[in-house]
Amino acid sequence: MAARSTFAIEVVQRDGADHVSMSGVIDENADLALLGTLGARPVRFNMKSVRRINSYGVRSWMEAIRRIPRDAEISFIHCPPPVIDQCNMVAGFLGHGRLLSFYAPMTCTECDEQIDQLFETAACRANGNKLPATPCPRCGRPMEVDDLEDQYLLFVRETP
Amino acid sequence: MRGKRILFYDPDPRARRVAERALAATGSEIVSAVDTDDLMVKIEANGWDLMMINYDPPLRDDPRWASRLDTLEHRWPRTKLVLHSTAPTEDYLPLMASRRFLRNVIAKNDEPLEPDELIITAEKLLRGDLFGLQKYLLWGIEPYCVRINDSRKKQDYINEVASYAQSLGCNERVVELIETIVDELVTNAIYNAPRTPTGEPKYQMRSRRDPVILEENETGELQFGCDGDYIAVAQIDPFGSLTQETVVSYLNRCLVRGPDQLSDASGGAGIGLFRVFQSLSKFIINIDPGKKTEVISLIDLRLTMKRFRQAAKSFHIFIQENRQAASAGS
Repeated sequence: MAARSTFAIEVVQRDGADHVSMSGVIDENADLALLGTLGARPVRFNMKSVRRINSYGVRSWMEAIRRIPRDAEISFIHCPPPVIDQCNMVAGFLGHGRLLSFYAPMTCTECDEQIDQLFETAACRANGNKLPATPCPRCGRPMEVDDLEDQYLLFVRETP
Repeated sequence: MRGKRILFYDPDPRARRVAERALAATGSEIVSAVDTDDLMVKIEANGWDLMMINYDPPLRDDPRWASRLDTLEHRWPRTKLVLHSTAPTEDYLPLMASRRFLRNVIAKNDEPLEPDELIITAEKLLRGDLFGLQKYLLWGIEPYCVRINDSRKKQDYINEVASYAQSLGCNERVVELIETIVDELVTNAIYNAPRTPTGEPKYQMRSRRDPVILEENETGELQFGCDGDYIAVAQIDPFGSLTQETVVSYLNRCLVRGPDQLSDASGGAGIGLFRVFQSLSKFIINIDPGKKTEVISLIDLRLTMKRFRQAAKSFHIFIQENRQAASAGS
């Protein structure tokens, strides 16, 4: 469990953009100084392996994301539920960035299958700010999000 | 508790039946009010040890009731007040800032009321015996204890409780809620709670990146346990420095998304308490001013995450009275 909690950040330059992968827990031990060096190229954050963000982590994240120049294009992909919770709770959590894709916790009321399903934000917007239909991988019945859908998708309505 | 008198009000006859049965079982005398007119008459009959009142509209939105309940503490200092409400937390938290009588709010969700919570809340107040995580778990459950004394070991404290939750079969999202609670409570015990001999905050202004090792007499404690329905985590510190005003103002500031959410006033972000509150089903704070604080978080394991988000949360702040003063007033 300790390894999953340890914060790590990696930046790779590819296709004219900085690809930032983060993992673990964003807390007082997370060194986000690297974010201050970004902005010369578009920045794409892959948040898939971020497990949790504590209250101190929220503040240092907000300070770090604001240091990226406003004219730099920022996008977020594969945001897991703990990151979505922060986007919905804390104003300005994404800075001036756009959230392109995210995971939602899905559950099947028929066979009790539970999965985190990846969705495109644009597909939700095209679907009236709702999650597109998701068949259960085990029994094929439609799955439901195991959260309050309106609340979970607040960021879809409120962010660019 | 034998010899005590409780006034109970709820317009729902099912809730009254549940409460009458549960509270009578404790040996107290229970009198129910069936509507607000009946309640108004019965409140005026002095001699209640405890009033348990439904605080849903129209009573909640009637300013005459707000001022009536506000004066109870002065008119009858011995009488304790507990409210229950179907309202979501976001509705009653802002009211707590201006209505001091809103200290104990029992969430009333789908079921009429939980008899356990009624009994525990009533008995804590009537007996003046506030502290103890065991009160919220089934008899026989022995909570695990971890001493909190070193900020550098915070992840170990978190892992210990998270591993326990995983061993119970809690899913990933529940484990994350528990980790959030422990993370913020441990930070609170180390950085926010300790006071100097003159009562000043000792480590509050320190950056949470600066390690702190607590002195022996500053050491806090983390307790955790589960009875199948609830997983419970408690943090105890030997200072009793938390106040009702602090709790209410911190929670309310975080309710509104905007530039004021994050605090610049302390070494932390000032949203830890709110994150704890968002992660639990029942929140109980026991304070013996200047001596001890116990913050108890209960997560209802029977709920799906969707139901958990929908469900109203119970909120209790119990303040230990000076026993000599309390007995003189009764």
